[in-house]
Amino acid sequence: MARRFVDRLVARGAASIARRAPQGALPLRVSPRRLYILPTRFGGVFALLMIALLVGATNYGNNLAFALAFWLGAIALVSMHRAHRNLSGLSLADIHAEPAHAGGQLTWRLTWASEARRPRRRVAIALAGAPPVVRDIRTSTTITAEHPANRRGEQAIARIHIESRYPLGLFRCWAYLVPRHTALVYPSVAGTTRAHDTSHDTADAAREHIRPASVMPGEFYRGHRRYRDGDTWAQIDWKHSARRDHWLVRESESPVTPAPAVFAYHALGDQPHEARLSQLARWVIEAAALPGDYRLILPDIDIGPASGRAHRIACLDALARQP
Amino acid sequence: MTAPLTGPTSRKERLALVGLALFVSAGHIAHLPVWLSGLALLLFIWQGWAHWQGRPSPPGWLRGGATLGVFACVFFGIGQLTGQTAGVALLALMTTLKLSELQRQRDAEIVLLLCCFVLATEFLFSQSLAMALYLVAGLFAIVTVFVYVHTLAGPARLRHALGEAATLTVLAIPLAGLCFLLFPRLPGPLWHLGGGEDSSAVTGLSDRMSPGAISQLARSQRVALRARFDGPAPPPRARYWRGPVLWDFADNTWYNRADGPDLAGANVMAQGPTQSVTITLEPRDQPWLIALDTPLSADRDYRLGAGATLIADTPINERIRYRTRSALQRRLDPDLSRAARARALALPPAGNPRTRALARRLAADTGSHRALVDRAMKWLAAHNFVYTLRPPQTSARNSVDDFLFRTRTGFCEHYAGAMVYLMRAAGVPARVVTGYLGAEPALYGDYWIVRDANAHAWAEIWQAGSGWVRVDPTRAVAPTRIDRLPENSRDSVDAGGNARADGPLTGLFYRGRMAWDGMNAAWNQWFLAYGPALQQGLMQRLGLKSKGAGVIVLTLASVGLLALASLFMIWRMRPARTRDRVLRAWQGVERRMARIGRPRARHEPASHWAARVAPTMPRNGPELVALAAHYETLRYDPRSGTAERRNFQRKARRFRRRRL
Repeated sequence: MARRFVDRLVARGAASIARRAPQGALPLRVSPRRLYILPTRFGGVFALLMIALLVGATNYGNNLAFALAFWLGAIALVSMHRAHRNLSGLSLADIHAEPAHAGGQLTWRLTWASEARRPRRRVAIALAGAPPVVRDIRTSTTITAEHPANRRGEQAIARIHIESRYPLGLFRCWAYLVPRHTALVYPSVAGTTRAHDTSHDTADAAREHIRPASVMPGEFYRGHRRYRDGDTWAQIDWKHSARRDHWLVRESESPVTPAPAVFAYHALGDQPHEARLSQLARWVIEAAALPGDYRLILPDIDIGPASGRAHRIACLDALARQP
Repeated sequence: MTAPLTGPTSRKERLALVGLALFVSAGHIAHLPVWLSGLALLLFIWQGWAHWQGRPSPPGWLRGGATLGVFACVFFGIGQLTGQTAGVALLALMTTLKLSELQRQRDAEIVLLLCCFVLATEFLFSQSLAMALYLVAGLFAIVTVFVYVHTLAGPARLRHALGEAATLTVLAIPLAGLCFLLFPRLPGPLWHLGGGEDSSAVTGLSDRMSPGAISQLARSQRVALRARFDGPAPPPRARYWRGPVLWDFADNTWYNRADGPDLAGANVMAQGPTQSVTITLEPRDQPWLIALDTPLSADRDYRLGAGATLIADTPINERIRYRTRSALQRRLDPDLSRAARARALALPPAGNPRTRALARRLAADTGSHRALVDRAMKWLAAHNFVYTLRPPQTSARNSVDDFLFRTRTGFCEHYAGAMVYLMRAAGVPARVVTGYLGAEPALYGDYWIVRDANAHAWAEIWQAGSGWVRVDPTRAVAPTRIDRLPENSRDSVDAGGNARADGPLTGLFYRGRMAWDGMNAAWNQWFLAYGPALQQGLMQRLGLKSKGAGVIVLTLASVGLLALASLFMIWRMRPARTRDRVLRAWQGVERRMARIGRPRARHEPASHWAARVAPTMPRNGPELVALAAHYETLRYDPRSGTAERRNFQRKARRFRRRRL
């Protein structure tokens, strides 16, 4: 009964703390009013020791023991203020995360700024549910924290827990931050390696599917790319551009170049949605490691053919952002 | 998220903990048996070496065996496992054993707590000024290691730990001082630890006086009490400090029979001006409150014994301070009760025949008791008695005869005892008074020091009309002992009051000793004597009558202090105030607007914001837009002058005060 009451009280307290966590856009500051302090278990044992010292000092009328007990106790109280000061005013200046594949680890790079000249000592920073990183934070310190990438798509950063037991370990001072920030999670890499025949068929099928009528004779349609100054109006693919906030330009190439690999969503018709995206992701990654162009065709976008890092990222981004 | 905070300890951390434990237990070496100290030192060396080499912790069976071994050593060495010395020995040794197991941060924290405890136990044995310095050093060391193990490895880690520890220690002083003064103190021990060795009191005057007892005591230079006289100090020959009075004699020993008659308290009548003395008494585990002869009253609970000695309710085992009033000229018990007279005349039925014969001869043709005393003193002066701190042994059976007729060499207890014996044999009521004679003025501080070396014994005889009168036979033998006492404490101890060593070196030594005593006296008076009684005095001086009020004030004061500290911290953390007055004026406008729910977003330029929110404020919108435009002009137009800036500030101020 009492146990349940306490549990409910703790849960309610935790909920209220979570609700009040500073959230929003960067920079996000650890406000002094959103820092919480409780004694650690070590602090509790220390308090018991102080009581024992006081009882002993009273028993023997020992003034030096009194002095020691009061001094240690006062130091503990001062350390509480110092613990608070250690975190107060720290701010999260920047967040950056490299995309990851679903099921892998997102690596968040959190840049902390401290206006104070003193370093913030032994600050443990953790994303909810992940093991903390313990570091001293100086004027500007970047910390990398790993967090599992669970689902494909935009993933909001988990609640950040910062904690410090500096200077004496008697008090645990902590705060939560909920920055509004997301990272992109690519589909997990799964499926089969691209067999040459299949890819050829797929490429043909895709070409049939989307080939516009207006491709110049003598040229092969190669894919879309972003509009660049100097492109003619005739080259713009109006139909596809209408779905974007920038123009797409049809690229053509002479037929002497080898046919680019084409990965089309529609060609994988017999698989579930996520499995298709995973398969496409796998092909993209494999193709990016080889010389030669490739092209990705999704229901709402057609990218390439092209090669290089930017193209690979564009493809994976498009896969990640699929509904 | 506790994993890395309770991770493994580093080698440096382990070495720091070993050093700390060694430092805080070093003081115990003085009072632990030598071989136990040696054992502890061996364990320290072992641990220091093991951690230096980075050895893994010894296996469990070895640690368990070592624990049992330590228990066995303490039990066989001290004879018990309870009691103060055994407890302290166990604590110190267990702490050193714990050093063998320091893998995790939790172990480090346990050692830190143990170190606090070990340091506290040092004060059971001594509370001197030197120990106070040890406390400060030990506390600082403990806090430093606390910080050290709670920071990350890095450059200047130790220096940072030292700095942070200093800050913590210094910032804690006001609060600690307040707690020390105002924390409710309870009188007396809550319980007694067994073993009978738990008092820091050392033997002083006792309630038995056998030949050699006082001379033994007089070889010690320990301080017995410190006194502060109100007004001028009494003359040297009046500096008798009254201790226990001994009535009964048996087996060469003066004492007070346990089954003696229940005598009424003494009746002291002052015959002249009285002298007030404030006395700080060293604990001797005896109930007597030593006072200047003859005490009338004191400001503590006491009763006046039959011998006109102030007696406390319980043995005094901590340093106390009290104020007494004494009469230098007085009449003591002019009417002697039958029981008291009988007791003051009692002698063993047989023994010391020559002394009895001498008494009969001296008493044969003298009328008054006074005249008899004079003849006895003359007899002593005429027979070449020697006064010395190292008297020869007297026979057990007829010790008084032996002293008066054979050795004729003795210390004050021999003379006092012999005189009382002689007087009783002559039919004069007499008794032995023990106490101290003389006092040494402190060089630094307005007080006087009485040492064990001043221990003395004299006689009192009863005379019809004037009551008990002091008779000091030592005066007949060694007058200098009485008249020149203020100086002779500086002499080498066993010179018996005659030889004096002087020279520049001894002078320096003397000054040093006096300075040390001055500091100790202040320490005793202001720090160690602080207890329930002085606390109540302080409370009353602060206008607080009861303990409850004290607790309330303590609570309020500490809460207030903490609140002040918090405010100070908040103030320290305030955002920096810019020196640009225009910017400040504009920030004021923004704050005013934020209060009415129209804050500027971080990314918004001033004019955009003003344009955005102006439509929501029909009355003041246009002015805000104008103000924002003005502000931007001032920001970006290099031609704007001081007058223009002033103008803007005025307008901004007016805007802020307006009802929006």
